Amino acid sequence: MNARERFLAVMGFEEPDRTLLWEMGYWTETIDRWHQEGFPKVQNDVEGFKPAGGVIRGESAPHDELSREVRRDTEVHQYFNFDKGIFSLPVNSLIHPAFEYKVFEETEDYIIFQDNLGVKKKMNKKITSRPQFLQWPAEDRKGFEAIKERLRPVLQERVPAHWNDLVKQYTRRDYPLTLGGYPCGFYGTLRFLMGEERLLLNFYDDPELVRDFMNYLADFWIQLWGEAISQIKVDCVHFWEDMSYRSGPLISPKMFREFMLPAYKRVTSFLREMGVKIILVDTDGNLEKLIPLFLEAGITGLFPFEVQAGNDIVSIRKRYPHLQVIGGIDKMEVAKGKEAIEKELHSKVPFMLQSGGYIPHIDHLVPPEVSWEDFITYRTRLREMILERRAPP
Amino acid sequence: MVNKEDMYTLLSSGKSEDLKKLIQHLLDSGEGPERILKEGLIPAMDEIGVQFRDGEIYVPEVLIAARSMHAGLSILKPILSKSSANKAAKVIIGTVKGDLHDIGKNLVAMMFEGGGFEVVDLGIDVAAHQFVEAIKKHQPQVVAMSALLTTTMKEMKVSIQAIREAGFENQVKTIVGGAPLSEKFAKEMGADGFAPDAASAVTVVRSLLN
Repeated sequence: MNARERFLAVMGFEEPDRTLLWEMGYWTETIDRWHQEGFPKVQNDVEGFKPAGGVIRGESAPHDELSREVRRDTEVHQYFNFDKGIFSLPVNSLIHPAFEYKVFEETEDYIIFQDNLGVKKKMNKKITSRPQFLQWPAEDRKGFEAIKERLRPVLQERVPAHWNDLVKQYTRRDYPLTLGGYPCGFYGTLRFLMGEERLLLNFYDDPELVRDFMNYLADFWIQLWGEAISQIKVDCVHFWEDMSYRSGPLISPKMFREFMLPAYKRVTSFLREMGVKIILVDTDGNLEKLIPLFLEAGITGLFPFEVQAGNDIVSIRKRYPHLQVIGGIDKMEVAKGKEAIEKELHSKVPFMLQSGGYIPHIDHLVPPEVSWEDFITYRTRLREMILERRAPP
Repeated sequence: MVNKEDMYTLLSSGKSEDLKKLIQHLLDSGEGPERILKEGLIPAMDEIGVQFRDGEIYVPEVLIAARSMHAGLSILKPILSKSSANKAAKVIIGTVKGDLHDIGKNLVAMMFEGGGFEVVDLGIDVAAHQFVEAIKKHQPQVVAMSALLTTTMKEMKVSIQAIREAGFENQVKTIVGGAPLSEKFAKEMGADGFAPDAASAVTVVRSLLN
């Protein structure tokens, strides 16, 4: 089976020859550390290149091959002979035309700039971290009305010039293809364009604006993705929300139901009609209260499944047996060495593989706390478990 | 007469202007500002904190309540500052070096303010030496540190160590919180307290100061 066939079979809870050998990705500091610890520098993905956010994508992180800002790992991939990764159809699903990139201030320590989404950010130059957001393009009704000009669902304006060649190439693909992803999501996109605190307050201060914005995005994606999928069938669609913290969701289930659910249902129903059966959401933090709502919204799986906020993958699988899961291996346990790795894998992987719909890997990017030796131990043992579960020929 | 329930109703519905009118009315009726604060606003905000901790309300509800609390305090603070009696305990708060996240830290700062503490917010990306300098300048009873990333939480240990080396170990209590942290990790770093969420931070600090 090729990677695409395996992906579809695994996510369809069928019996593929085995599940996929994938990771989500790595902080550049992790790769740097591993090189110092003996990971051979065959084809260095990091040297001389500091990608946006200090991230190197792995196989499960949707990668747009035209992307210049974030690179996909090739070194770890080749070392462990991983399966081909998922690619993202190069359709700009948010702001077009892009805002002008502008630098407002730059010192040795930080840079303040406006990015292509129109967000003013402050980025630390010395330490790998996420940026601080300072100003947003659609904080109020006026901003929303203005940004509609950059949210027009015209496919030909939003794809590369060689789109027709790409369509031919993707038709013959042996890897999964997706649409959407970071930062497309109803909460996620509004957070990006409105600002998180402003959005959270607007649920009370200007609920009509929040509702109108979400509905506008639903219409926008239905039209844009509908046209794209009519030309090239995709295997799944990704949404990005990141709308929980360690204790639970940032907004109440009631608010999710009132504002997000109608918009989600419209888009996911449309996608199913277009033949897209796998619809994944990326939302870190504690998921307990959100999972039933996402399922009702038409989401079919979680990527990546994050452990850090107390999410118990086995317990969640038992309660939601048809929820697809990618990730779920606690990165902090992998960093603790052989004994902890065995315990972590043994407590999750056999059960999850047995119950299907599961692609195991570390619960987010592999952090620099994980040594090269521990990563080898973890990947070697995980491979053994995956091959043990191999379906009979 | 100060009524916690009235205050709670206005805080939880985010009615800042109505709250300000109520406080002004109480002051005009001869109620003392300290009583309005300690028997009205603080217990009402504590109730909001408990509901947040227990998952009964969520961040938007805390934000609108905190905004109203802030509006209410804008009337009381100038009057209270004229009296030297019963000065509020002071908390310095910041997101540690390398970490630019602020919403969690802001929520905790709001809860501290709602809990009657004087809050000095150092912002984000705060280096160990900046915490030390702020202690010298503001003489707080508590230093609260936040981190969202596993890559930056170790910076808390560096800051706690710097506070100790500067000789402030017995003068201030340190409390840490943030998504990737656990109580075990907080203890290993040498923090005096760990808050699993924004509302608990107030309870933990009150307990440390008692």
